[in-house]
Amino acid sequence: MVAPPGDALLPAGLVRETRTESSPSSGCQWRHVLADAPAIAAAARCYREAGAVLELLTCVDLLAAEGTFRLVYHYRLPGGVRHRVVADVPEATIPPSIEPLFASANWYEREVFDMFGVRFSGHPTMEKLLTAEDEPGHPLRKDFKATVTGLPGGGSDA
Amino acid sequence: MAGTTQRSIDDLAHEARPFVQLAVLDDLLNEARANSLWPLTFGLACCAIEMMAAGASRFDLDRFGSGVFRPSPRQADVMIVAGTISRKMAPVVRALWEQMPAPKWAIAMGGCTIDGGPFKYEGQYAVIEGADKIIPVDVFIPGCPPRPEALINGLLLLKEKVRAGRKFEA
Repeated sequence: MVAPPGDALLPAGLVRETRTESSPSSGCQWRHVLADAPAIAAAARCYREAGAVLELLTCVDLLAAEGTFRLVYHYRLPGGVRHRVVADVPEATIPPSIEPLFASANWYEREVFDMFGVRFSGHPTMEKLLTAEDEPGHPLRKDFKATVTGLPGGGSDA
Repeated sequence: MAGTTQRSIDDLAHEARPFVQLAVLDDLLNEARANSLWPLTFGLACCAIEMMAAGASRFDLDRFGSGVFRPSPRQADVMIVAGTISRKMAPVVRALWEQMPAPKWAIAMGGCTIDGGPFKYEGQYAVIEGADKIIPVDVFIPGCPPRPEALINGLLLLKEKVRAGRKFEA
């Protein structure tokens, strides 16, 4: 099945901006900025119907600069074209999970929650993935400060 | 408190010595222990690959008596901590150490177990910066990863330590 061209894949209402990706090292040919957080699920449906694979889901802490977290999704269409889909979510917003559509999002979204604190609604097990269970905080936030050396849950270097 | 005499280090060392001392038999026991240090299979990260290489045929730990890696801490003499200790894994390392019966020794293999290695930076959240933060370590082997010959060198150093009858108590 032939996927529609990059700038015709997502309906206009979902997208704030579409352009060709300028950074060659990303491997992406298209870059879409979604209008709002609920558009994430609708965009994922479009990519699912086009037969895409989710290759990456990550987050950037832009709280200081813009007051939002930027979620970045990489979808790879059959044929090799990659789309980077970007959604800015304000702090404490709960974006929809795309785990029902892309199973690989299960761990990606748990990692984003663990590292940034962004929860996803509709995720079957919205809990930490990588850090120790009794470790508080979200380490990849810019305001996370700790040099931890002892045992988790109360160890600091004596 | 006024009136009590300062006890010297020598007095304390005398009191800490075992009640029954069997001189020659102790030396024999230490010699036996040194030549059959059974390691606990405890590879955590990349250093585990070099530990496996040291246990395999080219470098061969078995000729030093340490070829039988024990899966259970109850049967092991030495814990070779090979690899980065993540914070999630640290209580497990401690639990396994405490399950090992005395006399027991620990080898910290690789940079990560010495001070966190390449993963140490100001504000890091992920690793314990050194195995000696959670268990007492007898031998440190630097390297990233140390070659199998370096692990064998560390094991031979530990053998000397065991032969001399020195170990951490508990």
